[in-house]
Amino acid sequence: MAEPIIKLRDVNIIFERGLFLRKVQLRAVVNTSLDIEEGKILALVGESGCGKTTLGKVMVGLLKPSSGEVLYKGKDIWRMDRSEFREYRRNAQIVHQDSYAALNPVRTIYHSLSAPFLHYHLARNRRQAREKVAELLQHVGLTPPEQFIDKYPHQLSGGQRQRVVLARAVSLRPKLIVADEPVSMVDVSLRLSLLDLMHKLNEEFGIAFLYITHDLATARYFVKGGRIAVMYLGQLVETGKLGEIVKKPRHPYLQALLSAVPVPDPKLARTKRPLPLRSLEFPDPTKPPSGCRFHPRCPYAEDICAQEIPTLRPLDGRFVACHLAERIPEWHLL
Amino acid sequence: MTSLLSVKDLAVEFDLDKGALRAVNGASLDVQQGEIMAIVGESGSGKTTLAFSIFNLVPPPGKIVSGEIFFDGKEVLSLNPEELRKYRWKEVAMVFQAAQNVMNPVARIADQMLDTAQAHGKTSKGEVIEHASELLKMVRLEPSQVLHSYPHELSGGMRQRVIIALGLLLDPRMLILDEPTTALDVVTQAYILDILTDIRDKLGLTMILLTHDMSIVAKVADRVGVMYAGRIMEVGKVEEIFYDARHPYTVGLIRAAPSLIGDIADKKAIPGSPPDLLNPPAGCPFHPRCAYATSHCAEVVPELKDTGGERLVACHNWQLISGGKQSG
Repeated sequence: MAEPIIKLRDVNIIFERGLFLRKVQLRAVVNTSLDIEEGKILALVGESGCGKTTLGKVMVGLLKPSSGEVLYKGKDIWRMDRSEFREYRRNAQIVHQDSYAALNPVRTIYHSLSAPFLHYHLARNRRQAREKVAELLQHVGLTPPEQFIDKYPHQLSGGQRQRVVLARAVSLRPKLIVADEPVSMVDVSLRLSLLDLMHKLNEEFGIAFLYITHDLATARYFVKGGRIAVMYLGQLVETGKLGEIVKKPRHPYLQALLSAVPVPDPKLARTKRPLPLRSLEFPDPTKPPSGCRFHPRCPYAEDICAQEIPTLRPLDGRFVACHLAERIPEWHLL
Repeated sequence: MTSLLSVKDLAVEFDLDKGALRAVNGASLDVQQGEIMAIVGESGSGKTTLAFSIFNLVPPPGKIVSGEIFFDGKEVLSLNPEELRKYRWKEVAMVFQAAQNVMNPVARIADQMLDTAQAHGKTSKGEVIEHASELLKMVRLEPSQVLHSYPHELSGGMRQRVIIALGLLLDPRMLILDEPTTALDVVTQAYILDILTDIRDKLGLTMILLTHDMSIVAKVADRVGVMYAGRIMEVGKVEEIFYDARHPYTVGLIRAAPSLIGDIADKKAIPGSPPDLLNPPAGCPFHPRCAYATSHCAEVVPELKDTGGERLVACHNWQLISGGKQSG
């Protein structure tokens, strides 16, 4: 078994707002432990506001946890010395949703992509940097490179811009890329080609990916044989092999989520029945429910669910955080 | 069959600094009484501009340069301002994209309902509130609670349902919905799609649903119009579109739609990129991305033709297309 490249241990993130008596606390991430093995793919799936982006930022060291540890190759990143931390940051890159916001609009593609090489002294001069940038553009399918290298971001399509952003993320051959909703702003006809590209980068360079998304269908396409972690209101509710989890989820939240995802096939779409929840509304995250955070919406909740916080425990080849997982009715995708 | 709405050869142009952009370029479409017609297309396909045209509300610098729109036999584009005021909201209502985020933040829902009704000449407060309550129940909200709330007190999904109820307030015959579930989570999305089907069944309302998402089309549409680069490429019943697609772009869109079900290996993106509408390709706008394209496709724009059984297809080579056949 491969060694985890990144390990989160009991991570908590607390955001605070306001002063003194009006102080409001939001626990965006609660006691979360998660590993990504070297060269592997993990999808982190949840609805907006569940804390998935926050957790992604923790993985690349952009956000320091309020408590808990972030271990890169076994070492706590917040106890590293300067050069170790620099080395880690070089190896953990992030790709955001909005490629337009991620690129400096007054810099050419060459300018944006050569910066990492020059910063880390990986190119001796401009000519060498240009060669490296051209090579990079080829890796991300922007060929011929001469057609793209001197353009400005606004001259490219959304899909092409996101390829440039990916090129910049892989330029230093990192060990991990956190991709936060990388295709949700890309035209639907092109989304899969970007996911294919990420898969190719994973295979060719052995880069591990954390794919953060709200979209279970793209997660299934990208992750293939890899793992998934499903998050609800700051807590992981189910983790394991994506293929098995999607077919037969054990957590009631994931069952409800999967039952609601539409499928591009009219006959199947109309036979698929959403699992009814007790409430459609997301609770206020500053006043989270006691016990299991899902219990006010859960159709199966019992007294214990309002009293005790469930933790991830092994069941049926995966991990589930539900007190009643063995007892609730089974649910199958088809 | 008689069409409630009939769009004929519509063209809408936006005069921009960089040149003239044809957002809708010769689109034709018929919508039947009581059906849910989905218009599916990517961003820039012209579906929103088409919808604004049906509402006769194309924002400047856009203007309708040619074509006709008939609603129940009336020519929409030549209505005078008074007739137009009646046509909008009483005949056709529209739920704009992200409308749930642009409600008046300082007015209670009841007041927003009253304002809308009064602007259209309904003055009896009691009647309006009673009708609004019925509609709120239809979108599965509790009127006594919602009517007295301000928008910020409601969740995004609740606000979107209020907006749908607001659209129905003047009993329109047709409702146009532009990406009605885009910003909502999937559980709420499924719920709202279910409500829409419900409303159609109960009121016999005609709906046009604009979306980029083939899964939403599969879930609720009766018929589908596929739009690309300002043109309608294919029209058919939802099963025909999914199981027997005749336009290569439709086949590509279905294959590019990721799914929880079926073989991942069958899925694939469409090569190339959507066209630059300031500089569109000659001939069929899809030809640079099309595996079936011939030199003829690069020269002659294919017309939207009936290929049998009211299956309209705008492709020179539709007979070669084996279809987007799927498991189901």
